[in-house]
Amino acid sequence: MSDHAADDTVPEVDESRRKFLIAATAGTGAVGAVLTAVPFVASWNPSESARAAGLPTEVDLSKIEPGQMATFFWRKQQIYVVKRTPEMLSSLAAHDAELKDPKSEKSEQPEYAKNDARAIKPDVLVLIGTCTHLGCLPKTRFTPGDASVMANWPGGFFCPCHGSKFDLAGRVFQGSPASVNLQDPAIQLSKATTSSSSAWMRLRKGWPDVRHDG
Amino acid sequence: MADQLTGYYAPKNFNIWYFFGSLALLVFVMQIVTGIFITMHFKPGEATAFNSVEYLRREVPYGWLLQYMHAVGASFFFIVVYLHMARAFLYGSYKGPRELLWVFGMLIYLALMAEAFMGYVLPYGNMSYWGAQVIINLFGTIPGIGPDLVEWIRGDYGIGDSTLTRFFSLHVIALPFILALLILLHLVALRQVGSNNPDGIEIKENLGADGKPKDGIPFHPYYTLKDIVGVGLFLTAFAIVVFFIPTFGGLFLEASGQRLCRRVHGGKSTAGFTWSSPPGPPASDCSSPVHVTAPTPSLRPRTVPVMRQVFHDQLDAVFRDLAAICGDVEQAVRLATAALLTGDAEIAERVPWRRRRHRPGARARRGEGLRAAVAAAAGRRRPARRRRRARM
Repeated sequence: MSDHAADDTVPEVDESRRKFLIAATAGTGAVGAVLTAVPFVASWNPSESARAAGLPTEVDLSKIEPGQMATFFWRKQQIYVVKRTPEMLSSLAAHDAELKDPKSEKSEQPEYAKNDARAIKPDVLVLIGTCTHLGCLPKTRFTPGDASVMANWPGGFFCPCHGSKFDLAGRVFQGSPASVNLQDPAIQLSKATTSSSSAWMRLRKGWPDVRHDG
Repeated sequence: MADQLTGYYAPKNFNIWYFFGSLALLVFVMQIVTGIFITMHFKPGEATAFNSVEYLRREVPYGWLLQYMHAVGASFFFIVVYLHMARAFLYGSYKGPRELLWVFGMLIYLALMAEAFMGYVLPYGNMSYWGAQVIINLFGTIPGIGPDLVEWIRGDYGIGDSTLTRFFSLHVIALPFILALLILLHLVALRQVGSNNPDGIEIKENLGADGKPKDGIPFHPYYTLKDIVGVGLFLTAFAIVVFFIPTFGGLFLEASGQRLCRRVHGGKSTAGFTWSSPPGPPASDCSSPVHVTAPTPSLRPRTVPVMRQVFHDQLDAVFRDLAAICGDVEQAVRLATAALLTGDAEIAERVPWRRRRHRPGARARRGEGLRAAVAAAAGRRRPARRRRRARM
């Protein structure tokens, strides 16, 4: 590209060859840049010990009394486990008109939980205890007829932050700021057919399962 | 802005020595980027520093790569900078009108040494601690204020938590800013006077009709592209070291785990004896990953369960050997007690240390180990008696 007058023997510039070389170099450089970014971006993923802490965990259901709820911390979330009594279960069918999403079409739950009871076996309810509005922990209001919550209260959960109400299957009531039912994590119950069965928790959506341990 | 590059003319006769300035800038940027990501995991503090570095190397995805890039990068920074300085000595680039450029370079060198030293202290291993000890004590040789100055630098009566945390701040924030500023001034000073060249000819003295130096070529595209080639070759060499020889035989990083392994597994024994059966895994090939301080630089990091299993195996082996030693010690003590109680010289002579002194070739067998000798002594009774009488 020299403008110096002394050079009379400047060869013709092969523009197409030049374009090809520039494009090929730039392309290789771009690939290199992307590959270089991989370790840096990947280093933000959960570490091995975080993954190990998030492995499926076993919960002993025999310790929970019928009608009671146990909570525990797993993968940085509160998990609500409720042993539902037959009375609680019978109250579920009665108020579909007052629910925003009675068939659980918009909420997150595994395939087996797209029923009224939202569970594999109806007596064990497992929910993620995070209000689907802005993330507070809903409080239990299991006593039916509790007028302080609302009229004809069948029993369920009440979020104190902004007043969202959920029934005993985690389905959200009309008039709540929340619009989606409480999230139902995928679980696996042990083979025992009695009600005092052990349950494994395994969250399928979102985070991948631990890579090496299967 | 663009004509800063295309309008700036550099001598056309640059040789290989002229790559190292741009390479130094590249390594500086690389250290900053890897350093930023390492700082996300490092926890400064006496109790947490070392463990956080091990956490980075073993648990964080690609954490081992971040650490190796940063550590090897530091060594490469010095290699590049020394070659860069060598060019100045070779071609007199420090002479007028480039004295300011040279002075800024010296200040960069000083700041770089301080930065590297403080970075080395941060993992708080043995080399970190003692390196800090030695270098800070150097300041104690200043007459008069020496000892007080040393205490002021350390923040304590000895190297400790205060030293580590202040070095962390200086290494991560203060000195990188100062270095960046100095490098900028270095480049501005260069831009002002223009580069020297291997022939020492001042190109600005011979201008063409367009006002540009006849012996110069615009920096862009000629030297930008030439430097890209240099960067490519440099990164190839850098990648080879990072992925295959990161400790560089102990020169870049301590390979102490490997050396300790060889001592224990019967290489060159410094203690005068070796264990008859080595503690830990039976393989004496010390290049296997469990023996080296640094984890295997593979793309599939070791999982927690595998590491746990290996650790348990080693622990089991150690306890097995301990139990065997305890058994032999019990034997020896029993024999000695019996000898004392009965006053029987025969029994007393069965205690191992006497045996070894009187047997021919005892010196050659010194390497056999205490356990083997005790076991041999405790095992034999009647035949030994006869043999001993004959010798005496």
